[in-house]
Amino acid sequence: MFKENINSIVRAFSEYKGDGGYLAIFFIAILYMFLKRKDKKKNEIVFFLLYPIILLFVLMNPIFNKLVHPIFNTIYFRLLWMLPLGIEIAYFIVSFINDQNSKMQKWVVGIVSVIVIISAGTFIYNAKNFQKLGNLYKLPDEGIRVTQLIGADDESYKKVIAPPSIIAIIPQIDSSVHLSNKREAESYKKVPEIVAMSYGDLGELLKAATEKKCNYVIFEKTMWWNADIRDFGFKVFTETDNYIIYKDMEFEYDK
Amino acid sequence: MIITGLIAILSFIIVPVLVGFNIVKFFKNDNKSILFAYVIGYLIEFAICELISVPMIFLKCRFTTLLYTFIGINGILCLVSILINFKNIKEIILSNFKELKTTPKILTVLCIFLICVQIYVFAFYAHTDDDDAFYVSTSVTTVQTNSLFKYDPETGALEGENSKIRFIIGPFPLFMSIISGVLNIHPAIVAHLIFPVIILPVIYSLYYLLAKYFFKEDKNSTLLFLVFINILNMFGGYSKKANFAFLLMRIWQGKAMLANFIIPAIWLVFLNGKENGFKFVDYLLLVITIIAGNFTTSMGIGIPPIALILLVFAFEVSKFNFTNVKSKNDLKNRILEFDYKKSFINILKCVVCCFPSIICGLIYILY
Repeated sequence: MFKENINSIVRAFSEYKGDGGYLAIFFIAILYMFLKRKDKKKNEIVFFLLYPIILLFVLMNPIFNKLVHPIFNTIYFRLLWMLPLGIEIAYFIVSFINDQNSKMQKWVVGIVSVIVIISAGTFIYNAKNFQKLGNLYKLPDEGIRVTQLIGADDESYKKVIAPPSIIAIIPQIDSSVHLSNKREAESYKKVPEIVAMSYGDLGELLKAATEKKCNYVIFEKTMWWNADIRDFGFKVFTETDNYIIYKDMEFEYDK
Repeated sequence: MIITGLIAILSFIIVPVLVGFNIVKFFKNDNKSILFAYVIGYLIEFAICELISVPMIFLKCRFTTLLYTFIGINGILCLVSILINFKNIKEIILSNFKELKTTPKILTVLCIFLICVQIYVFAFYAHTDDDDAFYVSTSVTTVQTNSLFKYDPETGALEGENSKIRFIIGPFPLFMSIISGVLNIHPAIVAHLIFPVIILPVIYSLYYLLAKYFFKEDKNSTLLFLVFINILNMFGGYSKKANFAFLLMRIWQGKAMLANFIIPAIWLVFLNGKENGFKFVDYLLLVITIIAGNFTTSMGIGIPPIALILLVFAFEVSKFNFTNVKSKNDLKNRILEFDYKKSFINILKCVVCCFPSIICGLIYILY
């Protein structure tokens, strides 16, 4: 009866916990609060012990999941943001340091804690997550350039078919350059013009361009096509290092 | 450039502090704390933005109407704050200066250094996120077409995807548009560069205040807590779904603000209220925080109220006295003698504070 809900809960926890290091320290912190409950103030016991336990009980409950499933279907993990994960771990470490008698012991616990956090976590500032970019927009230079080139054109109507590598950048720079389709993660790769790009089917691409009233097409220079777009009324508008932008010279915008 | 810098300091530091002091003045404790006013000021600004932008979206107003209304309201609040706090300005400055003087220097420098590292990465590095194709482009479309959610930010279609109710009731991208309008800087630059640099100190101020709540006068522990929060955030890259990643990789998105600012703000406001004995000003601040939560994202309608109600429930449950139970009868008597009415009323009061979410929820369902 609740199989789908249990799967949803398991998936959410799995997405949220990563390799589980921080969550393990969090549970140790809760255990510490339980063991030290007589020495701590009431508000601390409630916030760091009772509240997380009640929260976990609610969030891991398939009945609760069933109630909120229509809204939190694929994003159930966001409810786990209510767990005071970072605060509890930090409070636990500082309290544990304070529990030590000598200054030397405090230093040792402090340094070991830092090592444990570093080992349990993953450094966010890595090449996978961050790139050094030379512009203030914090977007790939070439994507900005392509958008600005089309945006600077005299046309009052600009609608573009763009490859996936650049599509997320265009609307962040110039709202006058419209996309042929929305960049929704799941469905975007199935739209005709993107499917056409992956197979090099120019006929399908031009059909989509006509249907969606697109007067610009951006190709990656490495793309292969089964025909030449210039034979169908398009001319090279401009190009950058990795992209060629074609413009439909016969296009007439009809509202 | 210098003028833009001065406007930025005025708009993002001085104005929020002044706006915050409208409420902070009436607190029993922390009523002179500039940091507390700074954090509360941003909650108030988000709440104001929600209250004025949602009706304006439905009324199809221009963006400039929203911008000038927002500036006007903030201007009035600043003037009111100066008037009501005028007599105490000297006390406020001296009190905060005294607090600063007694703060442990090495730990303070370490904290500031770690925060500066994070700000440096925001300033000189980039994390590209595909969701920005909607959120940042909404800010761009708002500014460049001078309209509110009128055009789809990706396809340019009239009343496109962003006319869906869940985006209208949680219009956080408009805050980027407002900053863009104030500073006359492109919204994408505001989102990816300026906003993170502004908001990171606010978020860490919030964590500092939470630490101060728990450790009271123990400033060493308070700052050590903040150091560990910094380290936990910087090494929280183990999952892109955890709040740490949202903080340091995409804080300009409303859901990141929900995870890293609104939810901790709920905790801070509630815990402070508990300490103050829940006066009217504490309930008012809870309502403001709930409205600010609604502003960040449509999930802000549900998550902050759930966090608040579970927190108050935990406090009421803690009133059961289960220690030294001598017999079954003793336990039974304790359960029967528990003041359920008072607990129910306490929970109900917090539920009532969530009325803005209830209204937004009804709009979401009925629209």
